Amino acid sequence: MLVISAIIISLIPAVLVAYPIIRKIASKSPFPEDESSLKADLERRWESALEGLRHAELEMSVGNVSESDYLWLKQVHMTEAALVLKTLEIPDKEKGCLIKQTSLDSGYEEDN
Amino acid sequence: MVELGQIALILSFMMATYSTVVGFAGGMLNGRDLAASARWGFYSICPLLMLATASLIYAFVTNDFSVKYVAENSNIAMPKIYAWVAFYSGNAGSLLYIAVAFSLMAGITIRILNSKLPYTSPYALGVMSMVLLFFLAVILFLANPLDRHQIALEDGQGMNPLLIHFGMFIHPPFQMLGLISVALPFSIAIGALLAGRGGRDEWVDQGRLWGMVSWLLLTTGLLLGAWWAYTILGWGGYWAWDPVENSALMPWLAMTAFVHSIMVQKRRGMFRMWNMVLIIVAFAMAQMGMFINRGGPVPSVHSFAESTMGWVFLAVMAVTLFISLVIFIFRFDTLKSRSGLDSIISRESAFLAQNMLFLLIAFITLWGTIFPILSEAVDETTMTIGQPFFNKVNGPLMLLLVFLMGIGPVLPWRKAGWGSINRMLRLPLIVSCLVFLLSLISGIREYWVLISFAICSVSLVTVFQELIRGSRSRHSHGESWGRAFFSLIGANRPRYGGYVVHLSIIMLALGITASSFYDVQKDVVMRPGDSEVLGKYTFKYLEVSEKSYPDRVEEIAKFEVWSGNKNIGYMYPYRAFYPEFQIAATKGAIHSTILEDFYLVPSEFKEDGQAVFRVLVNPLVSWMWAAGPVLILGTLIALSPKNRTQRKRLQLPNVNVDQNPLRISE
Repeated sequence: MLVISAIIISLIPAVLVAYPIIRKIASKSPFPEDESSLKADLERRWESALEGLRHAELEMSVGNVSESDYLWLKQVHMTEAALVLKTLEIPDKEKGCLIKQTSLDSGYEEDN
Repeated sequence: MVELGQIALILSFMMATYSTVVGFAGGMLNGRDLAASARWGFYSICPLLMLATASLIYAFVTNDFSVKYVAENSNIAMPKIYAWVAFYSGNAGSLLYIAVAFSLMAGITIRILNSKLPYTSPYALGVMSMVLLFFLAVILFLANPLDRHQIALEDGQGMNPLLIHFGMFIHPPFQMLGLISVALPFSIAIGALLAGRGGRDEWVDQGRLWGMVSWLLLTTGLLLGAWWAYTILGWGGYWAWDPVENSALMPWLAMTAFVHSIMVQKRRGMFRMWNMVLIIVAFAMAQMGMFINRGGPVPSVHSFAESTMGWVFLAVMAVTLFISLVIFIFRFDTLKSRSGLDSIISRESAFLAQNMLFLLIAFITLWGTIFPILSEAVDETTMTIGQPFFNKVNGPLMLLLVFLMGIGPVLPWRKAGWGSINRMLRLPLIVSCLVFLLSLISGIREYWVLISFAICSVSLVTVFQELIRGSRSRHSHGESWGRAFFSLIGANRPRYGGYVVHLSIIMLALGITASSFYDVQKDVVMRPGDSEVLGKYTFKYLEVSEKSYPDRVEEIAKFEVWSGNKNIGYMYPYRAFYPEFQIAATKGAIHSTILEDFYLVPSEFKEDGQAVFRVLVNPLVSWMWAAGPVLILGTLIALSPKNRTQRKRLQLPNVNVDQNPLRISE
């Protein structure tokens, strides 16, 4: 009984490690997006710039930052967002639209 | 059943070896099938270790004293429900517990990493497998809980009686989970370094997530440990700067620094090297904790976890530290910050200062903890550093941290002009000055208490100011106050979850300050019928009764207690004697209110009917225990995922980028 149980519990991990290699499951599927690619990096920077804008809006709306600090922060983050867009190969019209939306959407009250 | 457990242990060791080798190979050769195979191999370890655990618990439940570990840690008299506690109450079993818990947590981490960081995950898997491999090697070759005696014993030695308590179900599991969970963000960080694909911040989200999980486990373990010491060990205190307590505090300090500074990397692409250093230090300190826990040479009250294998852990810590630093130096050029500090008055600067303080306290604690070893090595006399040193040195630094905790989160990122500083800090500083003056007028003369109350009020006012201002802003857009409050938190979970955590830290700081400076203690010798007074409490010793159990004899004192003129009922502190172990354990009786605890604990019952009791009044201790759930709630809010609207907002269009004309990420 012990021998049979031992064989069964040994077979389970053996099957688990052999299956992906024999069936080549991973290599048959398309290559996943590379987290270190320039595009992924740009997406992170885009998110960071938007987060910065939302944060500046939030701070301004609750009265935490002065007008001059708010304008400076907004400019810095808008420049960052624009820089990201400039690097991307997208049509100028779409870039302009995104920049405009970025400015509009940066408010933290997404439900309002 | 035990033999099946042994087979499962051997198989899990083989699988961990396989996952280590094949995981790294899969990463280096970009062999996706190899990486998948290593991953599935790793997933199989958890069920195997669960089988080994089940076989050990089965041995406890069936009183199979042919198993050495069962014979050493239980006996026939032990209630069956404590089979789970007995499982991790000794060294070998606790290692198995750590291995099974880590295999489960690491399995979940790898599952998520595989979809979020597909090219980093094989390396992170390799590092996690290596960590698990080490534990499994120690279990199999040095401390196997499933080893059998040559001859089956009729009864076991029994578990250390101090461990037979409800608290054992929660405190040690959390503490051990907390220490080993530091390996999760460590593996992700080292995995990202090893992957070395030119990216720099890809691991940050996952590092932060698992760093916070680890931080939550460590914090819960520490709080439960303090609660355990206070309510169960019966000495009237909750923290003694014992080496084992310190060994859990040190990684907590490093992890607290890490979960803050990783946010700077996420937002600004700064502190890349610093975060790597922090997570390496945190993991080294967690290993140091395990070294001290498992028979390190430093004297400790936690003697039940002692073994002779502490040096194995120390050696592995040294090797891990060395290899991590080699990898760090090798990848040094990829870790340069994207930008620098714009201003000294900014959130980044506050985080950096706070980080320095956390590390300073961690290293002071480390120095105080290992000083006995150093002093013995230098002049062969063991000098122990006690509570006064830690209180005097770490106390003021911790207060400074609470101050930074108050002002740091309200400073804007990048820079803050005087106008912004005035808006954010005017009210907290005015309230703080008022609190200082009111405390002084009300008769408080201890300057550390005055400073502490003033600092706590800065932090408290900043939190409430943020919540009120934010809610008011949403309310002005037409939302009801209640909806405005909850939607404010929901829309900015990391920020406001952090504030809730900060509230709990203020509660802790107030509890520690009040109970450290205003506790009153009295040792009294009483006969039945005697009454004594301490503060506003009058307590009458009515009688002592004796109760026999299979494993112990309890002497239970009965007290009637009044607070002023109000009768608050009977209290029953007791002393239990375990003849088999020749150990006596005392259990205090506590009457707890929101303002203070009245604490009674017996020291000695004399034959002539006299008894010695220690009586304490500890102010604001209940605030510390109430801080625990608040802290957990805050962390869960901060960790909760963004809602669909937040995730979908303004995503970049899906385009191919194969060149970097602006060299934007360099």
